[in-house]
Amino acid sequence: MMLKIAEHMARYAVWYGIALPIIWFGIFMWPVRDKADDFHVRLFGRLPAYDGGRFKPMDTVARNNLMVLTHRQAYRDAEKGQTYPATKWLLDVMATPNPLNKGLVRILPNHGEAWDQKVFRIENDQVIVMLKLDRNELLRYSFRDLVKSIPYLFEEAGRIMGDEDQDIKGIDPKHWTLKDAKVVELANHVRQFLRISGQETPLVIPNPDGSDQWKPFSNYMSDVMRTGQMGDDVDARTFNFYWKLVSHYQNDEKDKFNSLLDDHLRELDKASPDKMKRIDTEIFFNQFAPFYHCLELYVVLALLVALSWLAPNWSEPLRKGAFTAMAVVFVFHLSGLIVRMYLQNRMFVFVTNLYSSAVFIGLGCVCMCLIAEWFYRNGIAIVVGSVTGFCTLIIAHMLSLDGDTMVMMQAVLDTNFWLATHVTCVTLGYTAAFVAGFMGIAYIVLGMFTDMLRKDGAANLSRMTYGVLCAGMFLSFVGTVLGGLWADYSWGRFWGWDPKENGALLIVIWIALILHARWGGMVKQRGIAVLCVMGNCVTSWSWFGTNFLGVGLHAYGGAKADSMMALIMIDLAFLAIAGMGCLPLEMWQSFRPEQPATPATPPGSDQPPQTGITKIKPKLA
Amino acid sequence: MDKTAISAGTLAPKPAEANGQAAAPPVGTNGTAAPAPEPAMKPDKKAKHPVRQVLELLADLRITVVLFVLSLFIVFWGTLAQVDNGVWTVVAKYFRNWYVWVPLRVVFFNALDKSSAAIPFPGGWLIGGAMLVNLLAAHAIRFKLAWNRAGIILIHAGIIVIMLGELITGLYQIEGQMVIKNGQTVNQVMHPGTAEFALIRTLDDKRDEVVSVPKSRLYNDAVIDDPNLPFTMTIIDYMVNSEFRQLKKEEKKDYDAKNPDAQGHARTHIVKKIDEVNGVDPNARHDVPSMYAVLTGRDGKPMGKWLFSAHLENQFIKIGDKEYQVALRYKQKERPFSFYLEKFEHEVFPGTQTPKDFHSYILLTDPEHGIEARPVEIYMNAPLYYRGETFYQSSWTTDPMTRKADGTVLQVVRNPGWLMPYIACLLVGVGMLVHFGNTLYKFVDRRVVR
Repeated sequence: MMLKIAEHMARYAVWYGIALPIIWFGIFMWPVRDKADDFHVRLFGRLPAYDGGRFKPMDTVARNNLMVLTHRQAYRDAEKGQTYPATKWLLDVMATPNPLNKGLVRILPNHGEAWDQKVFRIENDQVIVMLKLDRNELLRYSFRDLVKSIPYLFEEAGRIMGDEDQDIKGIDPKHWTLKDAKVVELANHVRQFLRISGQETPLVIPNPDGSDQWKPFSNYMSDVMRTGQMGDDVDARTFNFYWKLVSHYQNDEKDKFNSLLDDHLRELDKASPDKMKRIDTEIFFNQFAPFYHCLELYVVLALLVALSWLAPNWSEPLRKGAFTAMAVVFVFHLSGLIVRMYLQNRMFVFVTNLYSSAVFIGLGCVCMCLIAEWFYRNGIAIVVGSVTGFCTLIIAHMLSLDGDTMVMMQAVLDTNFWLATHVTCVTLGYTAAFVAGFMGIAYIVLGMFTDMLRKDGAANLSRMTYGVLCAGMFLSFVGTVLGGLWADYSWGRFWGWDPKENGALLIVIWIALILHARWGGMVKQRGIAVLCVMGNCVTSWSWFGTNFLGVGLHAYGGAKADSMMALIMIDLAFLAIAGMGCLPLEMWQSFRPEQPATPATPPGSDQPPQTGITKIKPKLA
Repeated sequence: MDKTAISAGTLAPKPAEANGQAAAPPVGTNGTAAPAPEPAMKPDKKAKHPVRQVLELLADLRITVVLFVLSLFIVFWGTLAQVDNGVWTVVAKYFRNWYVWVPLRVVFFNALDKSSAAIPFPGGWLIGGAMLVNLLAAHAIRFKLAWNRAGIILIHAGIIVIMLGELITGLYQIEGQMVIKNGQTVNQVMHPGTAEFALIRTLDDKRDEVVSVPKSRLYNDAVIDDPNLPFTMTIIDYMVNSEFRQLKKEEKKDYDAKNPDAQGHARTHIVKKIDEVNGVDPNARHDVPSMYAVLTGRDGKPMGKWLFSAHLENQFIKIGDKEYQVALRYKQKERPFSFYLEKFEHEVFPGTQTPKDFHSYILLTDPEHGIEARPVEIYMNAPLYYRGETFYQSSWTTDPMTRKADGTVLQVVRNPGWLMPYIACLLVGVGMLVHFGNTLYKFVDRRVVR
């Protein structure tokens, strides 16, 4: 029976490999709609807004704000056990009168639900004590919990950050403690909440002249109050629309809300179909979250291959299936990035910020590993590819907690040509260095704990690493030099010795070191593996470490302290693995002479006894 | 990244690995096998020419690897040092230098507090020079001109060009700044980081007589007594970087009582020493020097305590019947052409502080070339190249009252070695394509044959 299934699997492995990710993604691609008899909050997400220098749907505004406040893209009501879309939370906050405007609070005593939604994430104990909050397990607090301590919170934040109007100098961010950083962070979150409830952000009223100088609702309202009149143009209509929409929401008039929204959206669809198409794409992208599901699938793939090594009969079909599945996931991963480029209107610019660099490095790792696996069909590259893909996407996920992942670029970076060439090339250089580093880890781990590196295994893995290193050398060198040419073109100097440039140079030197040590016969397979693992420290420094430089390594405060500690921990782990690689060969399962007492080869494996190892036995002794 | 780990990985190849290696010869080996010690240990072979012996010693790949390790450290420390010092201070100390005393604070990832202890380390000139020697020696003895070596030769030629380019840049590059307010005409380029004390006497409309004291002679307790100056100057407090403010009315009485001899700016302003601008400063500011000094006339009459600062305007001083201007300022040089700033624009994305565009609209006038008010635009990623210099948009000035942009700051760079990286890039790029392409071709070819 089992054999039959194995046979069947062997024949159709490729098709199963294609089917798995497609079904997986298909589930999440299914559109979610609003309930007909409730507020159409998801449709509300289609409204356009101008926020952070970019047109985006309200859906994105809501998700980003909620992400910053509570580290989630949807609001979960723990008491009721229900989850709501972020747009509902945004509407709730918009419908709450600005709590600091005492006049408004008196007129509209109904705060709606916004005051009681536990969205403020506070994980720092000192801050919890400072604000006299009851510690709760979810680490999330409602506005009502905080409202009494807000003046105190703002006063503290002012003391730390400084306030020019009150002539307070503040503390140099270099010397902030962790608590200082968290107080400032929370104060900013509360301010953002107040700005939304005061309708100061996002900018929702278009400019009648069609430019991108949009206004927030509150500005327009003060204009109307001052002049006592309202025009008849586009912005007046939009203002009226929001005014009515929010009051329908406050008064719980579902039908009126829905029909008003439908009419307005229909009008927008007719007036600017292109813009609405882009908005719909972005909403689909938000909901689909392709990178998140790629992340899950990479875990599945790594497990599949690990399974293939344990079950020799199933080994080849499983590996083949995993390979095809990885190729399909790669396509999804890539299309995610392409949609991002479309939304940002920057074709061929894969990397615009740290977040997208993480996503792109993941993509590059998977691509390189697919190529490596095509040549050496042993499954190792699939594991390396899925592990690196998983790790980089986790990092990307952490980075997305900071808010919008598609922020506008500083003026100096506003050039598609250099972004598409230099940045892509350098990032691919990082990618190759990471792939080589993880292949080095694979060499050490597999060599030490399994028999897989006997026979050709070690040589094949090492040759694979060498190929990736050569690619890394080429990419990081060309990328670094292209960066120099950009600098020369724009600033009149090729090399400025600034931290980021130096970081890229370090990778080039490190790879050159490994290659020369190999050519000079100073290191062999194992030495290369160890050096590649240490190279991960160099690469992670160039990629991430340089961003922490301003903080100073002794200051454990600052907003970036957590990520800096994480980086140090990860680098220590790499060094530990490299150190493990230096252990004597007798401790390596793959390299120690086989002892007849413990059969090292798993049953069913067709590996012959290792003649090569026994030869060198006298030398070891 | 400690040294012990590296040596454990590199210098202890275990015999067992030699086995795997022998079974599969490395794909891209140089065919060098040079550092194998056997030839040196076999005296029975034909004795080598002493020059060749020296070259072989110099060309050892182990030296290459050691140099790579040293350069890793110097680049890494040179980055960490930028947390405390300005980037150009660090470049001069770490990279454009033969050796450097690296403070222990920097060695230990900036985790220590500042202390005076430091360790000596080879600087950029020394490491780069040694690499050059090593590389040239290797080519002299090891690489024959052959097609399959073409890639490596190209790569190494490119590396040599790039290193020479950086050498030329290091020796001859000149950087300065032009600060132009809206509606102003400027032909001066100033060099921040090169302060000087200047005494200026206007001879007529076109000519000034300038006596300047270089930065190297300005330090605490220095006495400047020079026949060219109409006074002797004793420096009380010299500040490499400083901030200033006007004295408040309520402080004035107290301040005057404490400083009865204060003159000029010292009567109205107060300056304070602040940390040097570091290389990782997000705003890329530069140091603004100030100093307090006591002047004494040639006749021995005290002239009071003065404040000189690059923050403040020139001061007038009258000695006898001659009037002078005195200032602590950045070194500046005149150009034979001038820029008139029509306007500077600074745009942000609506609703954010993120800059979208910086734009300087300039009229260029150069009488020598017969150019009269030619309109020029300088903005991000679009500098002006003129007379061998590059002028790029670097920053802007703000009006202290309205806090609005009221002028532009252009960075001015002259680099005679600018072409070399382009050549190097081409050489190395082609070289790597040839070399690694060749390796890949052989690899694929062998698989097909199998």
